Amino acid sequence: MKYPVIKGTSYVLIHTPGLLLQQANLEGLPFSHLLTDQLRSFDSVAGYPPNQAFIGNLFPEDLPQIPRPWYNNSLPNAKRQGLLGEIFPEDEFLGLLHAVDVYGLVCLEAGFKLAVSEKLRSHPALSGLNGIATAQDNGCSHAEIQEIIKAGEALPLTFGGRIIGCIRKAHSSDSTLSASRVLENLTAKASAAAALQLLFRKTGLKPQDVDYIIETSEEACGDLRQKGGGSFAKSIAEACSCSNASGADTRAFCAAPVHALMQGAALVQSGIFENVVVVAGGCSAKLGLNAGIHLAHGMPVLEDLLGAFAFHISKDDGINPIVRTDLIGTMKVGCGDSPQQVYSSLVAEPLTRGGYKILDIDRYAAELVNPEIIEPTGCGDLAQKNYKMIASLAVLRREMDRTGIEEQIQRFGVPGFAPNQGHIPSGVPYIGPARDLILRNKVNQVMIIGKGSLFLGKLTRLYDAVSLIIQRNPKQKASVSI
Amino acid sequence: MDQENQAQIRALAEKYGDEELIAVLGSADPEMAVIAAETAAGSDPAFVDLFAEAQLGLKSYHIAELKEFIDHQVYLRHMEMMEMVLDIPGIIHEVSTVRKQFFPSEVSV
Repeated sequence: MKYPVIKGTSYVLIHTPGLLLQQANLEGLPFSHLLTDQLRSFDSVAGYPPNQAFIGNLFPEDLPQIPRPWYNNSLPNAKRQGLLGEIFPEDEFLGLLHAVDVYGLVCLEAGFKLAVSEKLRSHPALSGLNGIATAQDNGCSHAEIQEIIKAGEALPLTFGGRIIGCIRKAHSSDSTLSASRVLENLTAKASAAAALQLLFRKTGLKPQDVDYIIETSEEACGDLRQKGGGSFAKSIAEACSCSNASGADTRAFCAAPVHALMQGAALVQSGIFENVVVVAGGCSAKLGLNAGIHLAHGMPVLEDLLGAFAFHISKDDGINPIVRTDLIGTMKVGCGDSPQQVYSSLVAEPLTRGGYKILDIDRYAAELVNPEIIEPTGCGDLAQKNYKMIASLAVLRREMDRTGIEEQIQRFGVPGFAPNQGHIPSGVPYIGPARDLILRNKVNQVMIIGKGSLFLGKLTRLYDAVSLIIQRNPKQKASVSI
Repeated sequence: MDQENQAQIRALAEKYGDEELIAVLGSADPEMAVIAAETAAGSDPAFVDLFAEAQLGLKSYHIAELKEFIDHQVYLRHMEMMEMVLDIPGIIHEVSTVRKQFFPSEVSV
């Protein structure tokens, strides 16, 4: 069987303390005035070990060797650029937000706009973005911006504690087009566009060669009568000059990226399209989600980052790792929701179908949210909980003795390292490191697991999970560097 | 436990009476089990100020405490793996401590 391959990946983090404060104000959080003192600087965000792992300057497997708390153990000389991605500061993000806005809803102060446009025009990946390459409006005056905000027509945009712009509502009465919803949606679009531009830069994929884009964030774009109509995918394709591409959005809460990878792989394998991109931007509503708990623990506010990614799926090139489309694991509607049933259906069943055992997999990657962010909430280390279940399932299936559980978890469990951005940590942050390790003959096969809290939408009490296996290309002869 | 779930449980408790209902927990660790048991018994400790009047008044039992009441094959199908993973004695201790605290006259199962 000719399997599709993962031809390239890119990962983006965007430091957005201003957006975090905006979110806290929107939610009317009683402690929002306390947040400012606990916000991190860009340098401390760049040096934060899990962030360096996210952009590929460190393997996630190396994180447990770095003493906790990681926020007190910044890596010296950390760079914003990494092998797999890049960390962006907030001023560049605000410039991006303006660049991807095709309705004139984002107003930036003239001086700020000029400075940030210069930065973006000199960025090797972002300079090609529509709206940066092309000249737009000259910006607004501070007085104009203040007036629009005062009239209740817009929300302020800040940088370094100063109002440097605003984002307008897109309709006078439709709440689905309020300024806060426009901000959420343009945030997802802008961060996804940055990830796609970075993918082009890192892989050499040309925008005009992209056939189809699947967008997998958790935002809903539409109006009063079609609240989640979409399409983020085509808007991102347009922003990134993918003139030959079409696309659509896939939604499955945090499980969506793995569903989309499966769909993208199927589109390639069937011959419908040759080059498919799976992309997702970040979620502004999740910024500072647990800020109150972090403050109570005397921690910095760690949920100050948007995440984004882009993956290129293409036909077999004899080099890149393959997606085993014949070994997809799902959580079927009738499978029940006890962990034993879920992991049997999700992990054991596809492996058995392929003649593999649980312990044949070199790495499992599930719920990769950075434990330092969520442990104070009482949730524990979500990734490790998944691996404990998988190891226990191996015991139940008599693949090993229960005394071996901890050792196997150490061997196959990818530690959590991703920002708490819902769909972003859901297994897929490890695709980049996995591709690297597989190409360098260090690892043979990896299972990526996406899980989603479908019940949050109140249409069902189900949750969801989907798994796929990425494997060394059988035709790959020598070790390859990415 | 989110506020909507608490509201649903409260509505059920009001409709059927506290004596006719128990909360069955599936929490994976003692700490989470305590939070859920305290929420079902009294008010949510995370929202104490907001929900001071929300007394659900329900006794909680972890599913592992109810093993003897469940068909053995059904229990194995759902819980055999979890018994390997969970700190069952720790969870039972914590949940029963919450029951004793909120319902001093409770008879153990």
